[in-house]
Formats: sequence, structure tokens, C-alpha cells
Amino acid sequence: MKGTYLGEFEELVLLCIGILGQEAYGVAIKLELEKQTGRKISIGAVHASTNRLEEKGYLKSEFGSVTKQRGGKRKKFYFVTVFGQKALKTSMELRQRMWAQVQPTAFEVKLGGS
Amino acid sequence: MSTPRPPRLARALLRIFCDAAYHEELEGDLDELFELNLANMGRRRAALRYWADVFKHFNWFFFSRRHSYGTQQNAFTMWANYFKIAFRNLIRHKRYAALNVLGLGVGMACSLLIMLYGFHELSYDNFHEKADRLFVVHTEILPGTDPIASSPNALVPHLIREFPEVESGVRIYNRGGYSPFTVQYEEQVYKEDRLFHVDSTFFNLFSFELLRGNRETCLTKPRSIVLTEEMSKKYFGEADPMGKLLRLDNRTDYQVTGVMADIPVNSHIHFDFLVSYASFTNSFFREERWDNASYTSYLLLRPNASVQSVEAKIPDMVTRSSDQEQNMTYLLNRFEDIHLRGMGASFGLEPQNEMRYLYIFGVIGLLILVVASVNYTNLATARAVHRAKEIGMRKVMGAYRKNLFSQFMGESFMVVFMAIVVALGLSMAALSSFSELADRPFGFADLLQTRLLLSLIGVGLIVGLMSGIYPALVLSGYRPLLVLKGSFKNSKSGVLIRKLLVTGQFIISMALIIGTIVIFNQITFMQEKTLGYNNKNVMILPMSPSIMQGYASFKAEMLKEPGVLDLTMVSESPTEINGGYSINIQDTDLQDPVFLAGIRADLDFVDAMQMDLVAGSFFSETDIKNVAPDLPFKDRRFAFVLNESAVKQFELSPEEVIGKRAKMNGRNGFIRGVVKDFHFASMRQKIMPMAILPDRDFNYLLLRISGQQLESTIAKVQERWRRLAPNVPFDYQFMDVEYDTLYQADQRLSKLFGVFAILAIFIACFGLFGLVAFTTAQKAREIGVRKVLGASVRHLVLLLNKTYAQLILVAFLLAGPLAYFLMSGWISEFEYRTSIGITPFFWSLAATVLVAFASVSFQSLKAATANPVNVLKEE
Repeated sequence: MKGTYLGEFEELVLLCIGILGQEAYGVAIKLELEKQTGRKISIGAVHASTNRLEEKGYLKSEFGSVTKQRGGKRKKFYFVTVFGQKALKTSMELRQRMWAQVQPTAFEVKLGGS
Repeated sequence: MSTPRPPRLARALLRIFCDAAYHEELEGDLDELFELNLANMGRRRAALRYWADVFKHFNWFFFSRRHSYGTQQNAFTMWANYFKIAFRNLIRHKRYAALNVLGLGVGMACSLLIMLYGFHELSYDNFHEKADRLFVVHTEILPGTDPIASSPNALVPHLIREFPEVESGVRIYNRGGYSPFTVQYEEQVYKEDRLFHVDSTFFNLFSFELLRGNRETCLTKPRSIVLTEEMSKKYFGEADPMGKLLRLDNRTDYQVTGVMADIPVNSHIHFDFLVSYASFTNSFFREERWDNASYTSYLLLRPNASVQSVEAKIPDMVTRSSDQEQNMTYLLNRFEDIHLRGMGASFGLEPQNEMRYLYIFGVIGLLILVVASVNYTNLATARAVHRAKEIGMRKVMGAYRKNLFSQFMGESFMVVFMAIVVALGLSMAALSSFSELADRPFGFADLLQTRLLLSLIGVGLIVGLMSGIYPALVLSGYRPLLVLKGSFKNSKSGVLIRKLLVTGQFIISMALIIGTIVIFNQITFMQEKTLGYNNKNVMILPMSPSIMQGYASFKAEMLKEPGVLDLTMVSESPTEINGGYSINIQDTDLQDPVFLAGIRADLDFVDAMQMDLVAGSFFSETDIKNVAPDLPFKDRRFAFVLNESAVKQFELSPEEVIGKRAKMNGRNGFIRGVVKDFHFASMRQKIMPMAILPDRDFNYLLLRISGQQLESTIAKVQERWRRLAPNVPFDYQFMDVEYDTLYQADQRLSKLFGVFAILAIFIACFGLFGLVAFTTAQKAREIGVRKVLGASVRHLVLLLNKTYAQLILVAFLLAGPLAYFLMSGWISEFEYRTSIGITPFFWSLAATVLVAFASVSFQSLKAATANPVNVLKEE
């Protein structure tokens, strides 16, 4: 089904939002992603991803209250929907199922040429 | 110091490009990140990151604005709606749309073609890389006379040797222009007349492309010839011409040392052959002389050299190096000015254009555009009533005036851009006839050049603005209450403005018609004026040494043909006799020589041309013997025949001057006779002093044939010619045709005026047609009531036409004096001219009335004959 596919980056974003709990907004997600993956991640990539995920129905969002920080701009907090949780689980289960089927000999480190 | 803030411009960009729905979140996050980065990596890098992040957000997702619920989406939808409405309006009123688009299309096609012509004329000679340092020498023979574009052959070598400012220079001797000659390769012989003798420096100055041969050396050796690709094909076909021999005038062999690419159309000189200057054997050409100005001289100055200082030093140099008294003035003219600002210098290598004509064409194009734009304005305001309800509704729904203004401006641009497409199509269709009219070889590629298309779009924008601004202002200003209440009529001032605009259109059309007729009259006058000789049915044929040798028997044989009436020999056609001679007559009060034009002619010249002698006689057999070529020059005794204007210079009567001793350019002799003044130049000029000389040195044969059965006579003459002069091509031109070419520029002007006048009046009538259709529709009820009360059809038609008759009359009263003023300026340039008279005015009025009434009456008749019941039954 179109629109239910979960990309690698999207999966990471969803997980990060889950890790952050109630405090998942743009900058926090970006920093958490960087911390977890060790990669440099641009805020634009995070926004593009959260928007797409919201459109797919994996995320929902709501604005926080106005504070003096951020020039008076409200934070937009993201939450993983039930649908999103299901997608994450499906993805994880798929992986586990596949890991279980991997032939142990295929992943052995081979020494010397074949 | 306050805390650094994110870059303002980046923030503004974000605000413009980012969808409003996402804006708050984005800006907040970016600001927070900025502060974070500020602490981590300093101000500059933080700012850079901010910029980078802003740009990273410019992806399709944030552009597509599909989650918008702000105002911008509404603006977009409104524009879509405006276009939909405009389009539906055009579809519904097809006739009105067609009138507009066609009128504007024709107008813009005219301006497109005029721009094409203008760009082409302005591009002349711009392919020469050194054009900014090139100069052409003009010579003023006497102070205050018109300069000519030729100079003595001593000038260029002296300037190069003595003036450090002069880098190089070239002399061109237009040999082909003096007399045509034959070129032969093996069996092929052709008559050619585009051959120049040039210095070896030719290719240093000019950037003409040399395909084969060496630019430096191809013209150094004697008897070297360079030819164009076209000529190479003509003589050698596909074979390699390099090193082959061409025989000129059946005498001398020249070796081909180079092949040039064909000369670009926009060059002010055109030629087929270049021959090295060193090829001259005659000392008259080889020696540096100051007394024969037959060469066109071009100079290449060093960068930053001052033209004024070079010009100022020339007189000294000339006095130093020539022993004779010199009263010629040499002027250096910018090379780039040759084509359009040749300063009226005659005798150049090719006839040039004048900037004035470009201006005239430009003004005419502008006028046509004005007429076409006025149409749109008129029709759009007149039809405003139909749009009034829409405008009222829009305003009630909350539209501002500026929204409506942009809606109607948009509509006019829409019509204009449809017209641009029409204009492109029309000008493509008209291109070949236009090329003929303008005498330039234009192709589709020229029409579709980027510069021209951009200019067309520019014209479209201006026209759209010009024609749309008034209707847009009027329509957007309607009060919603007034237009929605019920009967809404056009305002009085609107009607007045429309009348003024229509009058303006008629002024332009009428003035153009008057101009056309005046120019046409003057041209007819010049063609029909008695020239003082008869140039009808006279063939001009080339002369050759072989004909000259057996001339007596050749003539006798030719005259045996019944269609041949007369045969004589001349140095040039009497259509245009050139100057360059000076004469002194003894025993007169006048000490200074008189400068005059001269023609060498055989003894039956005056009879053959049917000229009249005023006094004395024409050359006799003895006169011819006295100047026989075998006599040494100083022993020859020349008989001269002057024209009346020459005699007048000496303040003598024609009878008194006969027999007086005279000296003309070294020729000793006496005055034999006086010929009645005849025209030997354009009628722009007064008849100048002229002399006929008996020298036996001729370039052309003049053959008068009978006017009946012209075709068969020409065929018979050709047959005889083949037999008598087999190696001379039968290359003829009729003298009256040649005469007409003197007025080519004027004829072109008259045709162009005519075409544009017709277009202008038709475009104006398009507008009138639409306007009348609309007003009669509005008056339908009034007409119905009048009819019921007993008005006749005739009465009604007259009533409806009356308003327009008044407009035409007012336009005529203004256009008449305006055109008279302008045209008397043009016609006063001619020394011999017709009076303007009243006929042009009469015809312009008649034509306008006729065309206007035809378009008005069609509508008014339809309205007047309609059954009144149909219009009155409602309500």
C-alpha cells in the first residue's frame, strides 16, 4: 500500500520521538538523532521527515505554550500515533523475523580467498 | 552589545517562501538552533548555518503550499478566475475579440518589420574588428560644396609615411564601376563590374574573411587576384581556383591568390574581385598624383590617435608634397557612420541609407501602434457597460479597486499577447514582400532572432500598458451601488474621450494618406518631366575595344536592322553625368575655372538623344579628326559643347561664347556649341554646368530602338550583336529604367507610406466598426421609438452617421495643415518640384469618408431597418 512504507531515516525519527516522550520538537529531535547516530543531521531533513510522517498519519503534533525563548515562537511537539507505533513494530518484527532466518554460515568472516 | 540575531535577509526569505502553515515551527526551531550554534561555533558560522538551513527548507514540500489556509492562495485563485472570465468574455464576443486582436496584431506586425529593418541598417559594418579605428576620407572640392567620398591616390601613401598616428591605409579604385570588363577562364567569359584595385594592406584594415590564401601577402604581387566564393564557383566550379589564371579584358592574365567568403549583406561595399594595386601598369595610376580624385581612401589610426589633429595637419602636408595650388579639403569620417550618416557625400562605392529614413519609418510604426492601441481603449471602455454588473458584484463581494485594476490590465495584456502571436504569423507571411519593399534580403532566421523577439515583447508590454490603463482606471472606478441599481449608462466624459481618440486616429490616417499622395505626385512629376532629351526605348550596351576598332561597319550593320533608329557612343549614360572637370574660357571676365560635369560622346550624340542646340553646332568630322588618338596629346584641338548653365557662369550669351578659346583639364580647344539644359542628375539638384567632350574614349553604346514590337526588336538586335561582337556579352539596360533607379529611395518611401496609410485607415475602421456596433445597439430603443413615430430609414441612417461625419471633418481640419507643413518640408528638398495642390487633401478626405461611412452605415442601416417591435416589446 502506498504511503505506508517506512524509510530508514523516518524510522529513526519515529524512534527518537518515542525516546524524547513529551519533549519531542524539531531541535530536540535533531539533537537526539545526532546523539544516537553520531551523524550530522540538518534541521531541514528533520522537518521534511516529520511533515511527511504526519501526512502519513504516523505522527500527530500540537503547539506548546508561548515562552520568552525562541523569539516568542511556540514549539511544535510531535507524538507517535498508534498507527505509527504499529508501523514501527511491523518494521521491527520484519527485521527480527529475517534475522532469525539468516544462515549462520553466510555471515561468517572468511579468511583468505575463495 | 545586544545578543546577535539571526540574519535578517534569510529570515525575510523564509517568510516569503515558506508556507504559512509551517512558518512558526520553522522559524522557532531555526532561531533556537542559531542560539545553540552561537554558543558552540561563533557568530559567523552560526549565521552561515542559518542561511544554509533556510535554503535547505526550500524544497518542493514547502513550496507546494497545499496545507495553506492563508490569503495568498486566494490571490492565486482570483487570478485564475480573472483569466477564466477574460477568456469567456473573448469567446462570447468573438467579433469584438477578433477586431481587437487583429487590429493590434497588424499594428505590431508593422512595428516588428520596421524594427527588423532598423536593426539591420544599424548593424552595417559591425563585423569589422577595427571599425572603431577606421576612417574614410571625404573630399570637399571647393569650400562649402558637398563632400565626395573619393580622394587622390597620393593621399594614403603620404599619410602612412609622414603621420605617426596613421597605422595603415588602403586605396580602392573601383575599376568595375567605371566600365565593365570581361573575365575569362578557359571557355567561360562573363562581363563583370564589381572589381576593385586595392593596396596590399586591404585585409589589415577590413575583417572580410579570407578562406584560402595569405591575408598579408595575397595582394602584394602584380597581377594577383582575389575572388569571392561565389565567383570561384562561377568560374571554377568545385575545382581549386588557387594559382589558376583569369584573363581580364582579353588582355592580361591574373593569378588567383586568395578566395574570400562572400561579402556579408550588411557591408557598405560589395565586390566580386580584388586585384592588387601593383597590377597597374599605366603611370597615371602608378604615380602618386594629387590631381585626380578617383580613389576611395580608408585609414586605420592608432589607438587613441586624435582625428582632429590628423585632419588639421593634412593641408600642410599636401602643400609640402604637391607643387600645384590645392583648394581641396580632406575630412576623416568615422567608418561606422558610413552607412547611415554618410554626410550626403556622393560618388561613394555604394549608395547608402540615411538615418532620416529610419526615423521616418520608426515614427510611422509608432503611429500605427497608437492607432491600434486606441482601438483597444475605445472598444474596452465602450463595452464597459457589459462588465458593469460584474464589477459591481466583485466590489460587493469585497474586491478592492486595485484588484479590479490589475484584473483589467491583465485582460489587456492577454489580448496583446494573443496579438503578438498574430503579429508573428502576419509578419512571416508578409516577409518576402517586405524584403522586396525594403530592398534587403530578409529570411525567417532574421525575423526570429532573440533581440527582435525581445523587442517585440517589449513593444507588447508598452502597448498593453498604453491601451489598457485608461479602461482599467475607468472600469475599476465604478460605484457598485450605481451599477447594480439598474440602468447604467456610459458617462458623458467617457463618450467625449472616445470621440477624441477616434479623431486622433483619423488625423493619423489622413496625414499618412496625404503624405503618400504628395510623394507619389512628386515621383510621377520627376518621371514625366521633360528631361531635355528622350530616354524612351534607349538601350545601354557595353563597349569593347573590338567594337571600337571596326565601329564604322558595326554601326552600318546595326542600322540596317529596321527596329534600330539611332546608335551612338558615350563615356557614361546621360542619366547621371559625373563632375570632375574644370574649364577656363579666354577673353571672359571670369578668371577662376568653372567646375563642371563632363561626358565624352560621339558626333551623333545630340541627334540620337534628341537634344536641342541653342547656339553653334555639335561636333563635326573635322573635330573628331583633330582629337584622333594617334595625334600626340598636345597637338590635339578639342571642340567643346557646353550647356546653358555653364555659359551662364561666364555671364555670356550662348551666341557670344561660340568659338572662344578654352582649356579644360589640360585639353586645349574652343567652344563649338551650346546645348539646351537637360537633366543629368536627380531632380533634387539644380542643373549643373556641363560639357560634352569629343575624346575618343567610350564605355557604352546607346541604341535607340522603335517602341513597337519591343520584344522581337530586342531579339533581332541581339542576333545581330552576336554576329558582329561575339565576345562582348549582350548585357543591356533601358535608360528610362536606369533613370527610375535615381528615385528608388523615394519610391520606397512612397510605397511604404502607402502601405502604412492603408493599414492605418483599416485599423482605425476596425475600431470604428466595433464602436458603432456597440453604440447603435445601445440606441436600439431610441431608434425603435423614432421609427414608430414616423422617421424614415434614410433619416435614421443620416442621424447615426452625423456624429462620425463631424469627427472626420474635425480630423481633416487638423490633419490637413499638419500634413501640408510636413510635406512642404520634404518636397522643398527637390530643386524641381510639383506643387502640393489640393488634390492630396481632397483624396484623403474622400477616401476616409468612404471607408468610414462604409463601416458606419453597415451598422446603422441594420439598426434602422430592424423591426421596432423587436426592440420595443420588452419591458
